Amino acid sequence: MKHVMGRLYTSQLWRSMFRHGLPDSNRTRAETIFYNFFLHIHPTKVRKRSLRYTYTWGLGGLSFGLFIVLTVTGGLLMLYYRPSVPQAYWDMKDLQFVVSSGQFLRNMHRWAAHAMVAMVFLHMLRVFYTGSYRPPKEFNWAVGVLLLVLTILLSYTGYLLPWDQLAFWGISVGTNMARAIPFGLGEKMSFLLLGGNIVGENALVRFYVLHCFILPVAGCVLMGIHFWRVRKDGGV
Amino acid sequence: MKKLRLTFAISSLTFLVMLAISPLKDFFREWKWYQYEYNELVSDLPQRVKPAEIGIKQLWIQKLDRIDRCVTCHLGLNEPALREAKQPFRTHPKIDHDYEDFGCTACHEGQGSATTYRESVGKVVFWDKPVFPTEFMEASCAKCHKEREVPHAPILTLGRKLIEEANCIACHQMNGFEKQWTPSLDGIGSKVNRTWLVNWLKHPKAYFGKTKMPNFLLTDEEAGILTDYLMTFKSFPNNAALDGLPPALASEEERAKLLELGSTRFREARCISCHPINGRGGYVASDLGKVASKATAEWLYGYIKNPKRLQPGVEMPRYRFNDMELAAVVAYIQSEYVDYETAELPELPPQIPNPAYFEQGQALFKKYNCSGCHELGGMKKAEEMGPELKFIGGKKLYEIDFGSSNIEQTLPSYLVTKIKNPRVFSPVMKMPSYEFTNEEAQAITVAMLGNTDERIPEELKVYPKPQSTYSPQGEFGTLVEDLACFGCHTMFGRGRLVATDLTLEASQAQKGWISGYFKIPYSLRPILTERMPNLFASDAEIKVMVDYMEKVFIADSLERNIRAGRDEISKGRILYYEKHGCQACHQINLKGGYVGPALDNVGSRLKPGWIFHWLKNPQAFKPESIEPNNNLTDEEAEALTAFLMSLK
Amino acid sequence: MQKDLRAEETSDARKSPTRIAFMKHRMAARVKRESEEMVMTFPNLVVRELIAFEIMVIVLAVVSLVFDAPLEWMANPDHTPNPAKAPWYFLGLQELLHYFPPVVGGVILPALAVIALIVIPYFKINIKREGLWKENRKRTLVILLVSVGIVSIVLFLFRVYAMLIPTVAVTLFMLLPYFYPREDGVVGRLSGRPLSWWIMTWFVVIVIVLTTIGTLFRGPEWSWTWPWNGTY
Repeated sequence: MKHVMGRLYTSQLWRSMFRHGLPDSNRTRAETIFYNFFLHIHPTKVRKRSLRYTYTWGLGGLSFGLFIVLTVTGGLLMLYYRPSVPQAYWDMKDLQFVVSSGQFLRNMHRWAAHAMVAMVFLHMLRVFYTGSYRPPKEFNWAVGVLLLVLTILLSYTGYLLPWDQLAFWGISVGTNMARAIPFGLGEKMSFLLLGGNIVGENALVRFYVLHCFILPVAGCVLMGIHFWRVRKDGGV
Repeated sequence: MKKLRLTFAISSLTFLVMLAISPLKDFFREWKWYQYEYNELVSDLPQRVKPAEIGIKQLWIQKLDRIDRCVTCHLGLNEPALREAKQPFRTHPKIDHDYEDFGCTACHEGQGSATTYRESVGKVVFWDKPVFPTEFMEASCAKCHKEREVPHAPILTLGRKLIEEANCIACHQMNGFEKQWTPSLDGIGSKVNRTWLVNWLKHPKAYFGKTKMPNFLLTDEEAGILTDYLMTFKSFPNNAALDGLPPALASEEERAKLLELGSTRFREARCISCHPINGRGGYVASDLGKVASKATAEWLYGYIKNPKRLQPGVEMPRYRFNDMELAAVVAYIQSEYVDYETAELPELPPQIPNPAYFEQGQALFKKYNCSGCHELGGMKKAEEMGPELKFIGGKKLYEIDFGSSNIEQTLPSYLVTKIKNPRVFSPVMKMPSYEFTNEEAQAITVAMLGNTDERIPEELKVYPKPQSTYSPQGEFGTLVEDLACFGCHTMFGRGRLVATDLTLEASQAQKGWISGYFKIPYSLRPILTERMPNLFASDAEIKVMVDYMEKVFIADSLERNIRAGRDEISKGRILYYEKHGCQACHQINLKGGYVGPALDNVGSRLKPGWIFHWLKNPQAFKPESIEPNNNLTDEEAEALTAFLMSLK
Repeated sequence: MQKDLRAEETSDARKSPTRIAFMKHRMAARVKRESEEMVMTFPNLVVRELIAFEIMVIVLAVVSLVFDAPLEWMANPDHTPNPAKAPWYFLGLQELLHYFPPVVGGVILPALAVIALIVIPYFKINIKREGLWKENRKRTLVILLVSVGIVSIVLFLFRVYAMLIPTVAVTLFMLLPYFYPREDGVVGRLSGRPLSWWIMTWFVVIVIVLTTIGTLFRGPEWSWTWPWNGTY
């Protein structure tokens, strides 16, 4: 067994993907971080202090974890979802009644979305109360606030997609709030968002595109900056 | 380090297990067990029945935009061998529609897309159309069948009839119903006495059990105020006024002399063909049993003299009585049809001392939308309509306010309850009580549930035949109007069917017979209540009508020359008495059965062409006729006709 | 420029890379000479992260297996549910709209909150995070009472008890160290809190109170409903 695995680890194919050997020495362990696209966001060595869970409560990391869960489940849900009236609603029913694990996927996506809003908010509180927003991290704080806003927008745009009463009126109430912005700006903004004066098919398509493409991409870019800055400012 | 590894191992394992649960659950879904059970069931049958392939099955009905997965478990719908099997495998009863063309939920409702029992039956929150209970099933027919009489749907047909008769559309907008004629209330102050009106308003059915007027559940005070208000309307439509009584009706003694004549004319005019008397008699007009305690003598006199002058549109013939006969009929009615219960009581005080009675009465009149049915003083029609009911069948459960009642929370049970007890959900509701029976309420509910805004392709819909536009002109037209023929007869698709359809009358009956019938009407079936009245029409009028009928109410295709030689007659006699045994139902010379009309003088009544065609196929003329179709040859039919024509 | 700076630390170049920190006088962060114990990221951190992620997914999966995501009737523009509620994170806002005119409750207050959040670190007031009562106690008291008084009167005029009560409560905690100065215990800790801490706490308490009220305590016509009489 050991022999087979050894052969595998030394094969050209393996080495072409992972340029380091098994992480059994500090050097290879460092290389594991260093040469890995996903892990290289971390430094090769961290302070022992930062391993303690209560150091940051891991809220930022868990928020990112929820984002991954949402991306995976959301991507699968997109396979079955048509952003049109009333098919959107029937697709929800099909997810529930026909698609294998469809209901489970939808549940995961829904609950993870709610959890992410709460998680990002809690992360913001933690950063504030530990004073981690102070210079030189003031810009990263601002990026974080934008990420909070993006998270809420992602959740909000996703809220419409099932096209049920809850969705329709939740969104109607929300956009009516935006209409209160003075100088006709609110009306314009809500018109732009909904593609019309009421929540309808146009709004559904817009929310779908925002939810599945524009906002996640914006989120990814901001997250990249956010994580990179954390690292540059001495974090994990 | 070791602890960390262990934790990682445990959490990774749990992670994988948790993610595997949902796919595993999929593997054991409810419908699979039904399919296994079905396959076991059919393998035990003596007949060869194809077992089901395991998997979700669905009917996609593109034209109705429905996907029904009911057939995932209802596997034996088309399998005659499973007629006695337990559900969900039982065969579908034979109906006119193939379920593969229409799907399941188009008729049954429920949640077609669901694949579990609970969800598909649809008695779950957030699904507002659960499976229809059997007693309301016919509502689904109404989605496509807009015609008046829906085949195989007696409850729906009854419901539509009841809705039309109760004139629901006076307050509620609904498609497909005709507004009923209701009397104008102008002149009511000169027509009725106050005591009667108060009691009538409080409970109309106490006076006339079959009245269409509902009970508005008025308090004594409201009834009094409304009466005072109505009693102020003394003049009739088009400013017609009463003429006053002729001297013959002025005194008790004068009237007594007329009673015998009045009684005879009352009988000859066959008033009870239309009017019941204390509940017995016809059904198209109001009860006369206590009319003398309701209406004034002046009004009775003026009304019978010319009904349409005091009540435009009413379907009562203007009898050609002379003044003496007229007075006699009124005298007879006055002496005979008295309400002895209220006659003894003192008349209720003429007016409640309430100075605002007029405004308050008018407010009540408007509040209860009386003008939806009744004209009064040129008031605008139907100002306070009830809710629109065009699409009541599509009403969502969350739009219904069940109030504090604890009935089953479904639309059918809401409607039945509301129709039976209109104010049960909220005391501020205004709908009156029609005192419907359970069956009637159920039928009306069925008809209403069919009013949905569901999108049904036009080609599936069945509409009623367009309204007849037949309207006779000239002298005949005037007579038809004056004698209210449409009130009982249908001509070219217009009119009631209390009596015969006259469209082919002149093909059927001989001219001389028709003329004689106008003079002395008699019934072919004396058992019937609704018989032709003697209208006392003049000879000139009768000639006009008969001539018109000879020209118009005739079909050339029904003409036929029949040879009536001795041979044919005797052959016909044999066919009548021996081959077909017609005497089992028909009488000749007081011998034979009572089921069909007597044939004694049929040769001077009917035309030979008619008899011939009738014998060939009775149901072609009268679908509900119980006369058997004996598949006669032309020769046989001609012989029988010859025999019948010989019975002069 | 030169005057403001001083080097605080030298280092042994052979042992660890040189770190030079230039600091202004009033900067709060201090670079201590402290050699922290370092560990390899792999596997120490990476495995811990994975465990945390896995536990989170496990919790989510359990919740998803037990509770189904809501799916109500199909959207019906003709029928407004009563009450029509936005997603829960906007219910604080919706609750604000119940009290204030739309422009104030729906635009000005939330916009102020977001802007305030973004600019927090750019205001270099009290960067050392000194306790509220450290200096100028009398002046601080007057300013605090006057500003809280104004806010309270406005809230009272609009009958916003849901914000008034938290405001008064937070103020009482702020005043606690003034009237009962202690070195340790809860009061001791509170006395060390700077103004920004108090404002943020006030903001968070109000957000939580309003969101809770909007989510659990509001029924038809946005009337007060106890959660045990049904949530909407």
